Amino acid sequence: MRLSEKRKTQLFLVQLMLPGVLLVGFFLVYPIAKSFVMSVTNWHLLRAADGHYFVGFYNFREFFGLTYLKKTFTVTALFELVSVVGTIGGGMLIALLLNKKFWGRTIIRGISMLPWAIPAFVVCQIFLLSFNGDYGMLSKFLTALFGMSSSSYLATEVPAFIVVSFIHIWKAFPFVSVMLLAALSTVPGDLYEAASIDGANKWRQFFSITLPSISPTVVTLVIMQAMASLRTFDIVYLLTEGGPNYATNVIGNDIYVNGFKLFKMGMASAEGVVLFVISMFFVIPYFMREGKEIS
Amino acid sequence: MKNRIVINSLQRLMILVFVLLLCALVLVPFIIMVSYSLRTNAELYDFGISLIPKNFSLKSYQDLWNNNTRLTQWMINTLYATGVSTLLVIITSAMMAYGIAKFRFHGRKGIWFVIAMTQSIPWVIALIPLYMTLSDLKLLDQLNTVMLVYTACFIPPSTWLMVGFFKKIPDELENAARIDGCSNWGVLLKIVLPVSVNALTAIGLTAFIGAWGDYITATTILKSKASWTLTIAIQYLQGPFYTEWTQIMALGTIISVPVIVLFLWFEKYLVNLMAGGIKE
Repeated sequence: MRLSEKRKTQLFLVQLMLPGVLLVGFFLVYPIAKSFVMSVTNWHLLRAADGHYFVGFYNFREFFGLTYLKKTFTVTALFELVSVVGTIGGGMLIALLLNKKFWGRTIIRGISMLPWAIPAFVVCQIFLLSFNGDYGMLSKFLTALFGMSSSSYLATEVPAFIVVSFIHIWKAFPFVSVMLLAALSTVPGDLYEAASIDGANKWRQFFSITLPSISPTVVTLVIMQAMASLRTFDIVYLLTEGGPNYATNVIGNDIYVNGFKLFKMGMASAEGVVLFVISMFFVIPYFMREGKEIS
Repeated sequence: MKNRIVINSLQRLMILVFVLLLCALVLVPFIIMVSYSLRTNAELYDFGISLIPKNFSLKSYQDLWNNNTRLTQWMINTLYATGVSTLLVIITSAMMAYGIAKFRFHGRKGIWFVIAMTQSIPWVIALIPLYMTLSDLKLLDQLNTVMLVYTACFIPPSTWLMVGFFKKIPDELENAARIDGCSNWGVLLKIVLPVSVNALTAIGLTAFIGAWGDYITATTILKSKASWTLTIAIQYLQGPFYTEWTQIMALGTIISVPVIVLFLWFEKYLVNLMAGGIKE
């Protein structure tokens, strides 16, 4: 018996989707769904043998009653803001530079994207050593420059936050500058010629031609960077574990520390649910803007 | 006319200055690492700020090699988990993306939303429940588990990019092949994939870089030394009382150089694929 064309296509589609759906389903979707269940049970890694039972909103109450909760949210929001402004601003400057024609531009573009390739973990090791109060290279350099006392920069609240944000921006700006560079290349050149004949200076040209032409890309990148900085916690965990005095304790780091250092899996899951809801504020607009191309 | 030449050379000078600043910003951490890896412990603790080591020494690399008999094993582990997952990411996301881009079926929008969501929400949310599940199924501490986790993590972003790419391949090409009697798989393998090699290389590059540099997932799942990857091995050099910093910098250099070379080699494919969404 021969299969009809329609059945053949259906079978083909099942074959295409099955491996990906199974992998993403088991390793990503199922755990996320499970975190909702875990968030209302008394899951604790060291008490696994006793079984887990329903505790209602106990974990959420515990989380919202944390003494450092306000600081965690403030630090997370500030980290979001600094990261978005830093990556978009820095990425824009570099995209504008690379949009100029100069000798060796392709090589410079490749080099400028390198931070994206160097593992975050390795970068954190470099900065851990460089900012070591006693013998770190950058520590000594900054001390020589500003005359600050050479106690560890990562152990002081504001400098620690600056270092963590800097590394995140340093890792993330190449992506932004590539996307902006692509957008810049679509702006028609004759617009600038017309503008310079009318006597518009460079700043004027940037704000009335360049920025409006690439604004859809900028908006998308703002949403993407907001999501990216919400995802980042490895840099924080490796450099400061959220300290000193919770000054770098973004919510992602707090979840990891509560779950894997303090073994409070239940409360960590409740935090995860809160973070899930927060990220949906970015995921849904992103999907509405960027996901419509398939329909 | 003369004025114009002056402006031009001033502009050139400014571009040069900015390019140099950019290179410094990007390369300094890497240079610091290599510089630290080439000095002895004695020089590490002295009080100079010099970026260039006073006496070049490869001792840190030698010590790293001699003190860690498992170093080759960790390299093979890293290469295995990264390489296999990269291949799987390329195959599975190409298949999924082709289905989503070129066919209409029940549940397509649902899958598309799940792809958007799973590539965007913080990984740490899934990590804790996943750890519990893997622990229940006795799948912890196995390199293959880590390899599959990497695969699953990079399917959503890769599929997302590939859908945008496949959408641009004109249907006429595939329809002509179908009229000639080509099966669905035949169309995908003989017509579509050959024109997608660059895009597939690009998603492979992102998956490789991501998996190669991963620390959090590996350190959560892998416990016994035999199954470690290179990034976890750095942990081992950080003792409670003494940290082998020069060896850490040497291992960091060893970890970074392969991905830097790969990246510079294939970067243009990635730029083309990412820019593809904007070009129209």
